[in-house]
Amino acid sequence: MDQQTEKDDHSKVVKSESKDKEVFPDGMRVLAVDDNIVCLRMLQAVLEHCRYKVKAVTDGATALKLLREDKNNFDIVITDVHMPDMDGFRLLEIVSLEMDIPVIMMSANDDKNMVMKGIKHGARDYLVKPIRKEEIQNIWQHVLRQKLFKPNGSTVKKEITDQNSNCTTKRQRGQSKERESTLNNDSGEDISAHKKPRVVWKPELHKKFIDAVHEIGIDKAVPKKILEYINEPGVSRENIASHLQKFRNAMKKNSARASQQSSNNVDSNGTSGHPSNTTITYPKRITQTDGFDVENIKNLGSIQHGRVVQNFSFFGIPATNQKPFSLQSLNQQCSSLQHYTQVPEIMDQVQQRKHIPGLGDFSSNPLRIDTLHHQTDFNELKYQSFPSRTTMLDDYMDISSHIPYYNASSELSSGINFTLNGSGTTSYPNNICFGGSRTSCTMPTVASTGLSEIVQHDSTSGPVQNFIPGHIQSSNLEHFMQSDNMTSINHVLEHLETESSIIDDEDLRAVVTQFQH
Amino acid sequence: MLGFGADRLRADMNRLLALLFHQGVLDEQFLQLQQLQDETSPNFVSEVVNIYFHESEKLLRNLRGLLSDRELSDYKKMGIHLNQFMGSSSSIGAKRVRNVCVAFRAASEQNNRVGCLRALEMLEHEYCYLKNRLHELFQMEQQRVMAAGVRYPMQN
Repeated sequence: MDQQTEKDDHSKVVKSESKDKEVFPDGMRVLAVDDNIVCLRMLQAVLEHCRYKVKAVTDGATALKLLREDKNNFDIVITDVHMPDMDGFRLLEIVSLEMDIPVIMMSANDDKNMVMKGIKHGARDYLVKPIRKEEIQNIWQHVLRQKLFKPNGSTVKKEITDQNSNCTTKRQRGQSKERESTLNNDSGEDISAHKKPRVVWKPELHKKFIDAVHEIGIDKAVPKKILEYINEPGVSRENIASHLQKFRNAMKKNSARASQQSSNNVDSNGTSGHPSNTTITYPKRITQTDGFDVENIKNLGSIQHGRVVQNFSFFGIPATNQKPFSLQSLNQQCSSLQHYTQVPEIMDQVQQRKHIPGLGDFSSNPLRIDTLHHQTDFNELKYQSFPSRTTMLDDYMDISSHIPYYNASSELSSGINFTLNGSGTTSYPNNICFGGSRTSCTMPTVASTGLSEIVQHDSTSGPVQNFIPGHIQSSNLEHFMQSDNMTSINHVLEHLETESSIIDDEDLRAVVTQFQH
Repeated sequence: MLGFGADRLRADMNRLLALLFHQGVLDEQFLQLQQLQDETSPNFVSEVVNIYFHESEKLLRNLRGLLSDRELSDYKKMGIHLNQFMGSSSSIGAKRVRNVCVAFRAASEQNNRVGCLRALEMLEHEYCYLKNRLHELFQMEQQRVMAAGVRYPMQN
């Protein structure tokens, strides 16, 4: 039955059908509209030469009738601009509103304003007659682009195999609705005069939407509730429904990406957000957090969405934890990201200070301090070149004069939060950004205060650059060298070391070397 | 003997085409048209060109009619016709006809009746020249196919 209708559809649409197995873009179904039959015949021949399936009609009304019969009959529409009754712009407008099919315009008139008008109305391309094969050969890219960047992310191949199934029909209906709103964003006033006003999702409005979703909970968020929460005139339930749909799709896409990347190192992830269970994996983490690097912290103003998101997937959620629509999992991701980035620093701090009483900040989080003590063994390897604890203590006392840095660094940490939250207030057309903005919006406050705590501590060892463990090490060494509290033997040894190269007396050198070891 | 005839006809066709290109009567779009002619549509060029002739004569009649009305000429309608003419002429590569159309349209946009009349005469002249030459070409093509067709069974 289904096959039968499929056959009928094709025979209706297609004039020359090749029996070879078709690979996209072969067999792409094109509706060609031109009142000029010479041009139309020519266009049809060119399209057929490109192995597309062509239906040629001479007026917009017939074209529209065919499209409305079943919009899945065509992948793309090519229309002339100047036509009696219904001109190309009108057809383009209706097609854009009612269905999700890319439209290419063509005209003998290469007037710049005409081209501009066509593009503003949402035409994918504007071809100037005469139509050449070179141009037509490439139009499949518009179809591909259309299909690749659909929110549901279906591939072209799939699309082509089930183009007549109900599932596609439903999906395309949903998309056409979305396209309406995006089209409106693009083309502005010209079209909106003809139809009911549409909502433009401005950053502030998107922020409200995010807040509402967060407040209600993503799983329970239904358009009606969000509408009540937002309480904005001119925003209808349908607007919110479509936006929510987009938002969810973006989330799904994003989390799918995250899980894909995390599956590579699931073994080392353990339960993210609980560093205590994954003691052994820290060395790995350190290398990763180096990737997260000082640059990010330095260039606070310029943290990009992409980078943030990438970092999330870097520390991706383990597969067991993953729920596509769950805020919690992303929060965890978010907090785990923060935990991990801090771990190297925390370790350094603890390494230096664990014998110092009165460091109250850490005891507020017993879990963390436990973890960090576990880490000391490992770190001793790393810091073996360090002097004894007493000097460390002195060193620390010495640095305590750097207290003003505390303020600077707390500003810095709030800067981090600001930037991440700030990203939430901007709505981007890109899907990824929805994910990014959401996670940043819902960043747990605990984690961020934790971050500021650590940044403050860290600043004791010097300016911002010292966030990287290696830097801290070297700067501590510097402090140590400058410190007056060095033991005398160190002085002597150092002195002798520098001198030993120019000592002539063999006996004395022997003594010195003995002493040195 | 007949085989030679076919070759000679082909050479004549090429010479005529070269002349038309040289005169700027045709442009490379006509070659596109020829390239589109293959086994599936062996008469594609003559088919399209005949549609073009038919449409163009209709348009020329309409344009003549619009300009013959001395009092009020519908320049807007004239512009629409000229757009059509331009579109189809450029599609088959009738370069000179198209260029005259551009001039004609410019005159019609300025409501320049004298300019329009002069342009119309030029257009008719160019169109006739193109039509005669293309007919010549198609006749040669027909003869060539016939000649080649006769030679073919002789070789078998």
